[in-house]
Formats: sequence, C-alpha cells, structure tokens
Amino acid sequence: MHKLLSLKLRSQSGASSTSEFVPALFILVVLFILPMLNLMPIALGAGFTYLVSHQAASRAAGQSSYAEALLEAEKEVQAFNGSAWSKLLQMSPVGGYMTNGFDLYTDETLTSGAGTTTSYGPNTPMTVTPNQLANIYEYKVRCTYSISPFVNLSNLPFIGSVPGIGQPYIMSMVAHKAVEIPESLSGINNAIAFTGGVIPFQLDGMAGSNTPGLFTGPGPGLWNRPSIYQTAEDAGRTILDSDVLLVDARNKGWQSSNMAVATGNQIMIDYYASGMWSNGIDAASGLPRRTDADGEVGRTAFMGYPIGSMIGRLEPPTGGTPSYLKLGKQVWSIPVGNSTSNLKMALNEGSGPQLLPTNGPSIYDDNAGFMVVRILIAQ
Amino acid sequence: MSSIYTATTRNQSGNLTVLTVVFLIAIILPILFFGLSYLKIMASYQGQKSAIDVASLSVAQDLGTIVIEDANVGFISLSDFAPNGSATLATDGYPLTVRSINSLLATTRLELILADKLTDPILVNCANADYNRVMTAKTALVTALQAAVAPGGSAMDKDGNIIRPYDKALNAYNAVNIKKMVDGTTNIKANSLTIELGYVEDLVTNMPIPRPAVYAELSSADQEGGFYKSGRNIPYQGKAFVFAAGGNSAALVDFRRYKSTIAGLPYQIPTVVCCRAEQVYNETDAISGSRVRSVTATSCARPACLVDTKPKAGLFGISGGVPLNMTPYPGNFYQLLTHIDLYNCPADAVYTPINDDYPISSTALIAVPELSNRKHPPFGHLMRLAFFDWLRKAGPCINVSSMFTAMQAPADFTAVASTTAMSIDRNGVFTIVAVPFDPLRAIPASHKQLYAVTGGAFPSANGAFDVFLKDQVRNLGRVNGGKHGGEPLANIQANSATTSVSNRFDENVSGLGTAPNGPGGTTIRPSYTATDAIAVELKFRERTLPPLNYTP
Repeated sequence: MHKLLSLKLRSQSGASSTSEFVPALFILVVLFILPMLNLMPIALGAGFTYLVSHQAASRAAGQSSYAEALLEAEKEVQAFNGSAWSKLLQMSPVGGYMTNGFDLYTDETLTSGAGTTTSYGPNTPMTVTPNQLANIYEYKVRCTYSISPFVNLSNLPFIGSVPGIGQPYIMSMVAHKAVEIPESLSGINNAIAFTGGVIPFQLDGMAGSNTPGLFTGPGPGLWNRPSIYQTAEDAGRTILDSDVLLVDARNKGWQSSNMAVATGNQIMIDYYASGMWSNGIDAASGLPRRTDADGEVGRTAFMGYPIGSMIGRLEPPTGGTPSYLKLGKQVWSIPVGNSTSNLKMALNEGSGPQLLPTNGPSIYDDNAGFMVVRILIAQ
Repeated sequence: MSSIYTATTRNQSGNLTVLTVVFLIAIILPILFFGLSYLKIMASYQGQKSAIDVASLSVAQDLGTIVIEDANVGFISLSDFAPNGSATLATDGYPLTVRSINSLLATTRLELILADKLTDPILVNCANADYNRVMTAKTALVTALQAAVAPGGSAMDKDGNIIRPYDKALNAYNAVNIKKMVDGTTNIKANSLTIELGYVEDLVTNMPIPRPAVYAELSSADQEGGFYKSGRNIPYQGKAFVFAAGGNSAALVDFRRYKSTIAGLPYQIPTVVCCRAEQVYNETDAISGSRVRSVTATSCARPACLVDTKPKAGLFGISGGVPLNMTPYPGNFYQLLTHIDLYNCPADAVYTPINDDYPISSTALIAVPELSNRKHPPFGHLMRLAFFDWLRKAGPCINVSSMFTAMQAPADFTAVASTTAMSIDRNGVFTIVAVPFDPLRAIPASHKQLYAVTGGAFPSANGAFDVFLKDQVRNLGRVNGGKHGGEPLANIQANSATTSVSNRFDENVSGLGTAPNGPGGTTIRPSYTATDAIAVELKFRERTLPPLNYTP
C-alpha cells in the first residue's frame, strides 16, 4: 500500500513556482510582449509612410504641370492605401488631399543668402511667378497615417490610452523631390504644351523666293536680272567665266574686263547704276542727263547707239566694231572670230571712247556715276 | 503486488531521448539538409547573378565609349565627347567632336521642326538631307555595336584603344568568385555567354527635348521630365525618330522587361545589353554524392550615354560693316538675313577650298545639293543655308525662344573694327556680342567648306560692296569636312605666306589669316573653349572704282 500511495503522489517541490508562473506569464505577455508586438507595426508603418511620401514626391516631380503633379501623387498614394501592406499594418490615411492622407506643397528656396524656404500649398499651385535664377523648387509631400495597434489593448488600465499600444498612432512623414520641369510651375493648373510653338517671323523675306536655289520672280532689288546665271544654266549653257565690274561713266577710254571671250561664246550682262549714270549736264535744266544702260531714247551718238548706253568691244582686234550692250538684250552673241579677245566696255557718248586715251579734257569729263556690271561668259 | 506493478510499468527514463533522436533524424535533419542545400543553391545563384550583372554592366560601359567614323556626320558614338580624343584628329592636328546618335537624332528632329514652322523649303531640304545622313550613320553605328558585342568582336574608342566588350565581359564574369558557396567545382559553360542588344520599353534617355517644350512637337507620353523616351517612335512630319536607351551612367535594368525588338518601330536602334550565361556546378555532398547541375542567369543594363549639353557652335558673325546705304538699314539679324537686296543677288561663285584653307589652297566651284544643285543660287538662300548649318552645329540644346529673341534684338552692323555676332552660351541662350575684327587676321575659308561671294551687292559712293560668306560648319567630319572637320575656327594668325591663288572674287587675300595647326594628341580643339571662334561669317568688303589711267 505504501508503495501504491507513493506512486500516486508526485513530488511537491516547485509547486510554488508553478503557481507564480501564470501571473508572471500574464504580466509578461500583457505588459511586454503585446506592447512590443504593437510597436512593430509602428516601425514598419514609419518606413512605409516615408516610402509612400518619397514615391509620391518623385512622381509629382516629373510632371509637366502642378495639376498633373497632384494627380500623379494622388495615384501613388492611393495605390499604397489599397495595398495589402496598408491593410496588414492597419494604416488609415488621415486628412490630406481628397482624404488620401497626403498633402503636396511647392517649396521655393533662395539659392543665395540664408536660403530661406517659402512653402506654397498644400494642394494648390504657387501664387507667384517662379524665378529659376534665384530659387530652387521642390515638391514636398507630407503623408499622415493612423496606425492601429496590432493587438487592441485599449481596455487595459494604464497602457490602454498609450498611442500605438492602446490607441492608434498618428504617423507623419515628409519627403522632398526637386521639380524636374520647372516650367510646369508657371503653368498654373495648365499642363505644359509639348506642341504648338509659334514662330514670330519667316525667313523667307520675299514672296516667291522660296524655291531652293532658284529665283522664282523678278522681285525688287538693285539688280535688273538677278536670275542671269539661272537663265544661262536653264538654257543649257556652260558658264565659262563671270565677274562684276565697276564701269566709270567718266572714262573716256575702254575699260578692260580682263575677261576672255572666244568664238562661239555668248556674253550675258546685267547692270545697275550706282545712284547715277549720266552723260553730261542738260543745258536746259542744268541737271545731269541720267539714263540706264539702254541710253537716252531718241538721241544717238557713236555708231548710232543711244547716248549714255553701255557699249562694248572685243580686243584684239584693235578697233573692232563696238556693240550696243543694251540692258534689254541680255544675251549678246559675239561676232565671228577666231581668236580669244578681251571684253572692254564704256559709256557711249560723242564719237565714242578713245582706243588710246590721252591726257586732257574730253566730252566724258562732265559725266557722273558708274555702272555695276555683272558679266557672264557662256557657251 | 509489488511484482505486478513492476511488470506493468516500464522504465520511464530515456524514452523521450529516443523519441527526440528519431524525430531529429527523421524530420529535422532532412529539413536541415534541404535548407542548407537550398541556401547553397541560392547563394551560388546570387553569386552567378552578381557575375552576370558585372558582365552586363561592363558591356554597357563599353558600348558608350565605342566610336565610329561616318563620312557625312563625322565621329559618332552613343555618347557625346569633347574634341580631345587622340584618334579623332583632323588633319589640322586637333581632335574632332564626337556626336552621340541621340544628339544627332534630336538635332535633326529640331531642324525639321524649325524648318517646318518657318515654312522654309530651303531649311526643309537641309533637314531632310541631314535626316538621310543621320539614318545612314545610325545604321552604321548599330552594325558596329552589334559586331562589337559578338564573341571576338572589337571596336575602338575616341583615343584609339581597342575595346573588346565580349572578352571583357567574360573576364568580368569569371572574376566574380561564384565558388564561395559551392562544394566542388563550378565553371561557366563553354561559349554560353551571349550578349544581345535590345530594348526595355519606355526607358527615359538623357537627351533633352527642344526648349521651350512648346516647340517639342510630341505627346506628353513621349517624354519624361523633359527628356525623350527611348524605344518608341517620336515622329515629326512623317520622319521617324527612335532614340537609343542610355543614361548618364551604365545601370542595370529589369531583365524581365527586356525585348529583342519592339514590333512596329520603323527602325531598330537596340542598345540595352542583355547578357546570359550558363554556369555548370559539379557538386558533391554526403547524401547524394556527386551531381552536376547548370543554371542560366540573365542581366540587362542600359549603356552610358554622356551628353554634352554645352553648345560649341562658334559665332554667326557679320564683319566689315554693313553698307550704310543699304535700304532699309538692317537693325537686327532677322532683317539682315531677309534683306531683299541681299536676297536678290545671285551668288557669283560658290567655292570650296580643295587642298587646304583658302587662300593657301585654290578653290573649286561647287553646286549646292540642298539648293537644287545650283552653282549660283540666290545669295539669300545661301545665308539661310549657313544659318541652318550653324544651328545644326549648336545641337539639340538650344533655347528656341531665345533664338527668336536674339534675331530680333538690336544689333549694330555699322562697326568695321568688330564682328557683330550671335553667340550661344552653355545654356543654349542666344546673345548678341561684338568681337574684335582684325583686317590682317580675318578668318580664311576652311578646307572643303562653303565659301560664296556675290559681287557688287551694294553700291557705295566710290564703288560697291562685295559680300563674302564663309560657312565653316557646312560639311562635318574628317572625311567630308576637310582639314578642320567642320569645326569653327579660332585663334587665327596673320598669314605670312605669299599666296599665288587668285579668284575672280578675291577677298583681300593678304588679310586672310591662317588657322594654326594643333600638336596632335589629346590637346583640346581651341574652338571648344574659345568664345570668339567663328562658324559662319558674312563679310562686307568695299571695292572702289578703278582709277582713270589718264588725267582729264
């Protein structure tokens, strides 16, 4: 019996510690483990609150207008608010734009001096014109969440009213991001236009001048025939030589062009008078007798060509027959010959220019002005 | 009784120990072994991933340094480089600028926009010609990049160093110690490293869109943060523009988003590096003995594409003093460029110096392809052509609004002792400046560039003005761009050499200076740092009446 009884009874040692274990465990769990468990969501929540603030600021910074920035930041925050992490951590947005728990500000910081920062917002664009030379601009996003305790200990005495343990903890984080398109700040609530730029002028200063490489109209200008080269090329001619000369109306000799002309060549000429091209003074009016290269109508001189007209000749042969280089006659086919000759030009007056001018007065002395002459030798 | 109790009860000691041991052997240990094996596999994969990441970054870094030479646009790359590469020397002994393909594309796109908005068919012709040139260059660059990343492939950088992206990537891969967590041996499977170029859609480049954005002519989705997106067609006027992916530095991108091609693109310009390698593990362990497994790892990286955002276009200058009797007298660059009398002069000659700069070298008459292949186009058209070339040289980072403002800003063209010029600063902002003009150190006409003259364009009291146009930035690169490769000229020296060259329309030959030759090597081109380098010069030179050779 004694043995039987001894089998049924267990040792009483440790009974007192066992009886203390339950309250000790209760205290440990309630006062330490559960509060510590509740602190974990706060730590995680802090990280997520900053992360979503940063993400929203980054999204806003790349937008082309404040309106778009606000919209994109909202999308970013909403995506987090609906995520599993938000649900797991029992994070609820507090206030903010459209009660999504965030506010968007525009921070303007002076780059000089004390670097004072002015904050515009929340959720409204800047009210001043941005000055990028003097300031830097950042979007600032402030996210605020209420993080409920993982285990609700609100009914416990003493700790039941502690935020994060017995009551929701209000967490707020701020993130900044430099505005990537500063122009967006000036477009208050208007998206940047990526199209439709207006040009204030046209480079084609003359109507009809815009066929590349070509004169397409007579056009105003000093030259009478600016398309002289084009005419030659369009006629299938090869331009052998060209030059622009100044032919003095006072020259009583022939002015050499130093341009060689050979049999079969054609000479093409254009002129303009430099202010005046006159063949003396009109006795009646006392004014210069001004003409163009065609000369005076109805008055002739050397070779029967009009007075004041441009005439030309080829030398050799010396004393070759001069031609009337009439402005209206653009293409001048030279006389038949076998040699290469030098083209010479002069104003036509009296008995014509001298072959070998000598010192002394002449009929050319009271002339004035000069012609600017473009000469083409073509074939 | 005592014996009964003894028989029906067993000894309590040790039972739990046995159970624990069995439990450990049967359950815990396999789990432990599995965990350890899994850990080893994961660790070795991470080592392999790290190796393939290093390899792809290595290739991406190399890609951005590869430079090729194109006959029409000069040296091109994925990056912009300042003119300091020893392998980019022009025949003048100074290096040439290297332009990135994105810079060329962005510039051409801006050219088309401006040409279209200015409704100027001359500029449209120029922009279209540039587009064709850039497309050819793009194809050549893509071919070169793909050849370079192939096994055994190579290319050169701006200093002439041979780059072997494949070999370097393989070395980089092998340099990473994957064996740390492997019991046994592990090696990359022979020839398993593949390098491919492709895309990750919508990667943002570092190439800025036109400024202000209103002149960008694109949709908001085509850009991000004021930079073009890569891998998508951003057309203008029917011309396709696809920008290459790249950033300020090589960086890993999500390989799961990698694509070899993007369907629907008008042309491919793949630059995202995708590296794959198969690693063979010969492992032994106490349980399964020896075994062989292989794992393929993939990594993608975007290349480094440096952007030179500082325009080095030189000056667009007016020298010699505009004739005072020019009517109406131009008060700004816009009025000068569109002056009716200047337009209405035919070019008497459009030259190009054939062997060296003029007047050291003689010249040849040329036709201008963009001007209907004419040899004597309206001078106004040549001025617009030169203006276009200058803008092209400035690149894509100019401020368009600033250009319009500067063209209409008051400018004094009467000065004879200075060159009145438009300048572009580092922010792309245009300003009017005056730089001293030395009649004995006037800029020569660059070898193989455009040199035009119209004679007697404006009368004066004692003669007439000839107008000379030097477009030093018409033809780009070492092949077509001649001695200076289409770079502006700076640091002009007086010309001591006697020249025998004579044109019908000589420009006071003795007054034309010479551009000094460089020392070779990596000495930076002077025009890159100078503030008075001239890209385009419109020069007015008065010619007086020849004296009468007799006394009246």
